[in-house]
Amino acid sequence: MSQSVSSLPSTRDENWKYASLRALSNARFDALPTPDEGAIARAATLLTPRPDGFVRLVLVDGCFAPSLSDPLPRGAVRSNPSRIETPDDVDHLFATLNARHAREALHVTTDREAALQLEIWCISVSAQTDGAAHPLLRIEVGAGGQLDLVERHASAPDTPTLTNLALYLTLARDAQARIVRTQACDLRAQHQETLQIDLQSGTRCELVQITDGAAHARTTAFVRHIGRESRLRWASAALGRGTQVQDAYVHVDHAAPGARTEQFFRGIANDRARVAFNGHMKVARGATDCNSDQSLKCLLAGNDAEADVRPQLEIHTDAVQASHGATVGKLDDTMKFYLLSRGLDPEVAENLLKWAFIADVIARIPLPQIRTQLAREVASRMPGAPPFGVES
Amino acid sequence: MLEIKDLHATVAGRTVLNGIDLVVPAGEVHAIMGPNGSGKSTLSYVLAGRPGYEVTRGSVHWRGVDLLALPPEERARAGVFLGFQYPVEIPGVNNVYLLKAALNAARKHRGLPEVDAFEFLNVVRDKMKLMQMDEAFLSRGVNEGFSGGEKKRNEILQMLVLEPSLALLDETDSGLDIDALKVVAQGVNTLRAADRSIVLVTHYQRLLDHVAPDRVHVLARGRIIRSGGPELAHELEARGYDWLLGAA
Repeated sequence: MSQSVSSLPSTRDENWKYASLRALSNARFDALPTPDEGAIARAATLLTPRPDGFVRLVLVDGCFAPSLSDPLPRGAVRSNPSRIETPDDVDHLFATLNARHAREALHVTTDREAALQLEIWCISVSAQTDGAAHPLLRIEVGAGGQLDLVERHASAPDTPTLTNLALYLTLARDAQARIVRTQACDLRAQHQETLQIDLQSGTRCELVQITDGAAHARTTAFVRHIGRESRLRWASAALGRGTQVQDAYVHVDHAAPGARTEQFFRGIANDRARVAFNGHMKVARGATDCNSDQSLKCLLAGNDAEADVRPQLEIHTDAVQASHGATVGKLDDTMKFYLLSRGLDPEVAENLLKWAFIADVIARIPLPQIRTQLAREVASRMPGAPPFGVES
Repeated sequence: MLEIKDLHATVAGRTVLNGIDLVVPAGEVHAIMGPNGSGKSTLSYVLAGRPGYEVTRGSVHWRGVDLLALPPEERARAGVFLGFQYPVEIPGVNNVYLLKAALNAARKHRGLPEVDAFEFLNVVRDKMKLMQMDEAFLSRGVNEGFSGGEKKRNEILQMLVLEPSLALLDETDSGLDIDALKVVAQGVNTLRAADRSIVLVTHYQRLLDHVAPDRVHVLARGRIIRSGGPELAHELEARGYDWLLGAA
């Protein structure tokens, strides 16, 4: 069944003010066919070297691709997505579409106290005229367990793909997760993703996300501090150029006492790009001694660029510490002149300053070997800005 | 030779330089002194090409090249170095990268090959010893978290690495304790050479106790109102500027 166009979120919806979904108005959300050998071969060309020690799993057009993947680790299965239920509201519409159309779910459950290093690639190679890719990931980390997850999103060059990811991650009591997510799809791609992360008592979740691909990219994330004393460090960077739209809505619900969240966002809007980040912090009634800290900054680096950062606090209890800062600004003229006065080209100087602007996000990548690799990848798209700042 | 003729400049629509004439021959150190707001820093910025500092009249030639026709990065590659009064902090760009990029930009301009990492570090380490700086500074963000004195040492370190032919040092002595002042002065003196000109902008005589100038100029109301030998600085130290301002 194709999704009706009229039900897509619009800019009139509170959490979709900065989204631009016009390109999806005629899109088909039916699942793409299972990828053939040609599609698998095209996807293979996009893979980068695997991080040492990680198990690699690859989905192509939303379907698990055994020929590009390692054997499924213990506790991982390909399952039927039909049991997934999503709230009936506009913010979960794409998750609902995913649940409805996904061909399968990749379901990973780790044992208690077990450690797993997982690299998951979601690659879309088929044009949206044939449908959408609906990667569906369910990951449950056992009590006291440790997950290192590298999640990579890419798409075939010069192909108008449509990806609609859903990621469900649960950390059981005292579990820890270090997550690095990148989205570097082709500039003709459409990328939607919905994340649901549940944190039980005593959990630690460090998540770093870097997005600089796709014509239009939207992250909708719901993080729930369900258990006491859980910790979330969310850091993301979004880089927009041309007419790209990089949009994110991250809702963090502190539903239990002692929950702590640090949210850090740095965005750069070049050219005519639009970059938006909406960080919604909720502290529920009775969730005392919670702590929430937001630092949201965006750099306007194009005359026709747009940037919007919006911290939101919704607090229903008294004993809470919450701070937030949000700024949108341009490149610092004095810094730029300083670099020019040392003989650097204007383009190099600007890219160095842009690099410096997002360097704190790169530095927060909790996995050192991934940090260096991603720093190089990001820097390669910003001439003159090699990642010395994080390698030394 | 640096040759400035009838230089007028405005900042944000306000005239700050009001007809400066100045010649600094190669091999000489000239000190520019003057009261607050006289245009000393503006002169430094104009020579280095800072945007927003508009030259409305006059000319500046360096080794026969029309400096004002060049954008700031080309002036730097041509050998002009500005030591900032307030060096900016640039977190996320570390010192070693900036130094290497700056050095290679200058070398490329001179038709020289880029230095490799090993060669570069050897050069920098020697200069850091001279400036009594810990090597840990190299991996830190540019001036990030540096004290005022450390920032000034870092400016001189950059100057020593880049070996400019024209050094403009804008109140490099401000905020330095006496030990740091000696180190910075030693760095400046190391750079003195027959083919190099150095312009020291300063408020005080104390820097000139360690870096002996060939000439001293007094800048007031955007013009050079008095020039003389090193003794002029001593006279200013003893008498202040009022006697000159009244006569100007």
